[in-house]
Amino acid sequence: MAKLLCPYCFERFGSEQMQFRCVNPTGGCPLVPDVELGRFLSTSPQNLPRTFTPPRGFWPGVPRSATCSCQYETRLKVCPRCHNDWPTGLDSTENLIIAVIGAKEVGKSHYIAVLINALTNDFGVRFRASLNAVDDRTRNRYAAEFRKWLFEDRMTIPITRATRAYPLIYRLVFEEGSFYKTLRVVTLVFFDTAGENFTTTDTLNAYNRYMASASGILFLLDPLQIPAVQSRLTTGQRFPTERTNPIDVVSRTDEVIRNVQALPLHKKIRIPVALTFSKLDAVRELFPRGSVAHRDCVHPGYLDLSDQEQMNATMRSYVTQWVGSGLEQLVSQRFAEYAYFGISALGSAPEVSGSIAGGVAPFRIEDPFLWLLYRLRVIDGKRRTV
Amino acid sequence: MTFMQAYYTSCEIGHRGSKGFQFNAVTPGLDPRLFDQLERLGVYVPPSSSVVQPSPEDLERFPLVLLYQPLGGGRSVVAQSRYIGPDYSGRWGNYFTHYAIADDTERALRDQLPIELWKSPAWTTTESKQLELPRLDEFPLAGVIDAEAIRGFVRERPEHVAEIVEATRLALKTGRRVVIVDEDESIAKWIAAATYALPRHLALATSFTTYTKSPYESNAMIIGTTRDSDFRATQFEIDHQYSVFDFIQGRFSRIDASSRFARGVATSWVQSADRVANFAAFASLVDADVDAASVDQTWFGYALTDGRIEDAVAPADISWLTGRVERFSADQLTSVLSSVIGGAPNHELVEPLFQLYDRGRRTAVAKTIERQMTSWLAQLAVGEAERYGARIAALAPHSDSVRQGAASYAPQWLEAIASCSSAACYAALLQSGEALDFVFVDPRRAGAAAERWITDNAVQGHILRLARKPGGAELVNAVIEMLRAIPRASLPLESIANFLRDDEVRKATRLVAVEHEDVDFYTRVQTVLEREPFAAFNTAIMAARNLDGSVKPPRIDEISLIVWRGMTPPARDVLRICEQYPSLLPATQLLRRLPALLFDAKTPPEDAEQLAEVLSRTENRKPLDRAFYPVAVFKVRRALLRNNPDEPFKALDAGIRLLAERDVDANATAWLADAVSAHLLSLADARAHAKYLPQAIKAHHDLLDNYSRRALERLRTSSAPAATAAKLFQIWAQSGESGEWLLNTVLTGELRTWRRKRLDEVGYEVARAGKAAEEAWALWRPALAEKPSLLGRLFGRGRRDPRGGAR
Repeated sequence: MAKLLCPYCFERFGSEQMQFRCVNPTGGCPLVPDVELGRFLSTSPQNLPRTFTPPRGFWPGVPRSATCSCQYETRLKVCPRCHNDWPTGLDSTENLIIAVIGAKEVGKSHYIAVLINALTNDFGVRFRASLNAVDDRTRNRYAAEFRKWLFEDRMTIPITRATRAYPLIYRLVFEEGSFYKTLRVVTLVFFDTAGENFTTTDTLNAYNRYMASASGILFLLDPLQIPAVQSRLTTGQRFPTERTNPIDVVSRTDEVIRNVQALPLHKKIRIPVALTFSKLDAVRELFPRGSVAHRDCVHPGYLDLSDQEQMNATMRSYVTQWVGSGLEQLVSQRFAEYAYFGISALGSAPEVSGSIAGGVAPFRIEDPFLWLLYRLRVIDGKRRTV
Repeated sequence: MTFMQAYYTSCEIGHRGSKGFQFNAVTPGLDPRLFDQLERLGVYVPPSSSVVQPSPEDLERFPLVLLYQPLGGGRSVVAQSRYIGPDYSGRWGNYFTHYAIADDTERALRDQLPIELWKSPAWTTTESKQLELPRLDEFPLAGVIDAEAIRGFVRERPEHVAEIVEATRLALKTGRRVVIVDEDESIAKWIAAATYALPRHLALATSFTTYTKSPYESNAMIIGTTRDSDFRATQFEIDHQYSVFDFIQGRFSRIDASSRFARGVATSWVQSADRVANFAAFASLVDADVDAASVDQTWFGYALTDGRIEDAVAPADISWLTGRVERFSADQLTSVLSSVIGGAPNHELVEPLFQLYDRGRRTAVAKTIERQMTSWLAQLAVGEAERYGARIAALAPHSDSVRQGAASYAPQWLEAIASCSSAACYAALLQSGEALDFVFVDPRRAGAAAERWITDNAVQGHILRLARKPGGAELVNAVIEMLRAIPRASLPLESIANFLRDDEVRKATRLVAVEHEDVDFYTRVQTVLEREPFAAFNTAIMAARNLDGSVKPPRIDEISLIVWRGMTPPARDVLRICEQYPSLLPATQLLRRLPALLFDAKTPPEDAEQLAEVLSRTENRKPLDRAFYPVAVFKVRRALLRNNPDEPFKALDAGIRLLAERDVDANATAWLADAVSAHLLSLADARAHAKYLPQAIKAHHDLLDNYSRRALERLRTSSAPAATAAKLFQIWAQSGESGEWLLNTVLTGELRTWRRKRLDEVGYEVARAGKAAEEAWALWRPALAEKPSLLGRLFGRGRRDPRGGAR
């Protein structure tokens, strides 16, 4: 039987090991120090309602509810390893962990924020899909740390704190079939971690071990941090103070994944990788008019493979110009599937104060994500016939 | 000891070597393994509702974080975290956390509490240009948090003080965390209100943070937060999981703040800041290791020292005090004991107080304890001796001062012992009285009071122990005087035999007896003491001789009556008396009682015989004359009853001879006749009958004629089985010439008087005896023929011969 993967601690366990937390509202069940959760949070154990593993039932899989010794029937599942609340439906749906990886100031938070917003709105119409947060933590965090800044106050998102953070977990529901309609449910887990965490292999190991369990990796690379790009730009730009070589980030990620998966060097990593250059609006002048970098693409219910291949080819050639062939060499040797993308989350550079006066105007924000879904066989991909 | 420092913020220069959030600077020597932990602790997430682009004034309004967290091994960290807006790159979301890490928290903080560092000028939000920071020697205080300020704060909000104090104690005890929703400075003051009241080591064990966006992820015991935090404050969380004090929305957990600690602290905050603040000093002095569960006791001890107790003292309080008595100063202890034992003795407290006294005796404050407890012990000795006599006795001998101090209670004690209601009470009073020297104030009175309780073993034991003490003899004399005075019936001396056997008591008994010339009492005592009554008799006689110069018969009677309790002495003792006082015996009343002794079944025959001989030799016959008749009767009966085939007829011989010699009266003859008749009817040993009856008939046929008639009379009227009678006749018939005579002279006449039915029954049996009874049957036939049955009378026919022969 397939093992379940906890989106918090990334431990795998059998469905029969799933635990439940008694939430008897009368307090009939005494609170006990939760050592596992304390260990996960790196705090002393808090007193919480007890957890327990229900007796194995006749049917395989995780039971919907379990009865505690206090006779209270609870439905609150927790991971048996870290005791975090188990997101609803995570044990019965297809789970995709999307790791957004990138150096500091490449715009990871902005990308995730805008992508989720896009998936929540326009994407749904085209793909007959809906996106919903699975828990309050995701809902509240997105509202407080993303939407409030970008879409309400039109400000850039504050710096992401360099500590462990809970993932954002969404349920993406596709409607399939034209006559007999069925629903396909995919749980998406996004990790938004601070760029500081990608600066050394140690911090990567400490905070980003989820990468090894990811279904797809989205490398965000900031062209403005590349000296060659900076020198070629003619318009007055504010360049990021950070200058992280994209090769370093990819290389460290490779190292961590191989460590965790115990994958030998001669084997390629099977996780599809979207090498995505952000802030495309700022470097658009480097692309010739008519290039895919100048036109947006609206994928009409499937991935436009023609467009994606063009973008891939274009970005690949420019990346070689900007950072040499090292990145391409590295990626091609280490990853089995990869593609290049160019996106802009905000659509324009924010002001010095961080204000986004014109509002958020994302550009090709869906491309890498849709490509990952396509590679993961969640959506279809077609070549557009002109 | 000083603090190591660390700055953490999003900066360009720092220990990570790149830009972004990192430790900007640290004091060299700071353990790098702490970095991760510190980084997590110091995270600052602004409230959701905070201004997105705050001005410098707005920034001041962001909640300020002061956090304190023990790190284990005596290390701890105090940190201030403040939101500072944009970082070096202009991006918002930056904060600055200034850590102060102490390797030895106690020494580094000196007398300060972590919460007192609130807004200390030593905290900074300015990046360091160097990667290294100096050690921080001390934290100048801002003056925002001090005891007086907290008192002012608390007095304006008295409603939840006790609850917050109790919740903090619970957090330490059970891990149930406290969540306070309020303004940051108010939260700091609430934390101060709770931690000021704690013993210092507990205050230093109380981790806190004045603000966090996510209380669920905080490691602190007291967690401050804002209204718009992640804290959901569900009913379950409020009721069970956290101790919630939401001063903004008015949501509060129900905390039972009835503990003495919580109430005391709350009251003290209103009364005096010093009173709260001084508790820590008190605790460190007397209960340095107190845990959160026991702090209630410590507070109560503290309250006792200044006499401000609001609750009754419990045994556990005294036990607590006992465990720490040596840590109290003499003044404190005086105050505490005054508070505890000032009122009427509380029985539940007595035992713990005794333990306190026990423990205190070995300490430097022994004199204080003794002084305090002396009068209290004396009160107990008088009022509750039965319960605490043993305990007082166990304690007091160690202390002269106790005895001296208690002396004034002696009259009350004497009153108590005179009116005590049980032996246990008397014994306990003796115990305590012995310990406190009360007994020896008036031993006569104390001894006299033993009248009702002297039979109690415990009482006896105490008196005997006292008897060996200086002054104890007087007590024992008083007891003996009391015994002498009370009526015999009301106190059998046997019940106190063991007591009387004691040497000291014997001595006292002798003295009392001599003093009062009371042979009677002395004899009573001796009767109890001597194993043999005769020995007691002898001792008493000797004592009487010493007193009177000689022994007179009435004295013998008196003494014998006492020794044998009014009964006739056993024959053996009588014989011994007769041997020792042959001349005196005839003059005594004892002599008159001796004949009865002869008939006593317990008297061995040889003794009885010897006694009879003695009596028969007695010259003064007068009182004995009538007694001699039964003597012979006794001998016959005695002998007849014995299962000796030879003896009956010897005794019969002797008895008959005695009767012949003496001028017997009718009664004696009747007794003897009864005895002989009974014998004659007895067929227990037919062989003996056959052997001796002819001899007896030959020697005393006249008498036997008479006795045989009586025997036949008994046989006729009694319900003796006919077979028995038949056998008797058979024996007689076989006794040769004598038997023939007996049959001829006795039966022939007698049978005519028999009722026909009885005659039939016995005759039938005689006839059935067969040939052996031929002679008897020969006599019987005429008797039967003379008395035909009714049918025989009617039809002229006699009774059918049972042997089948002709009639």
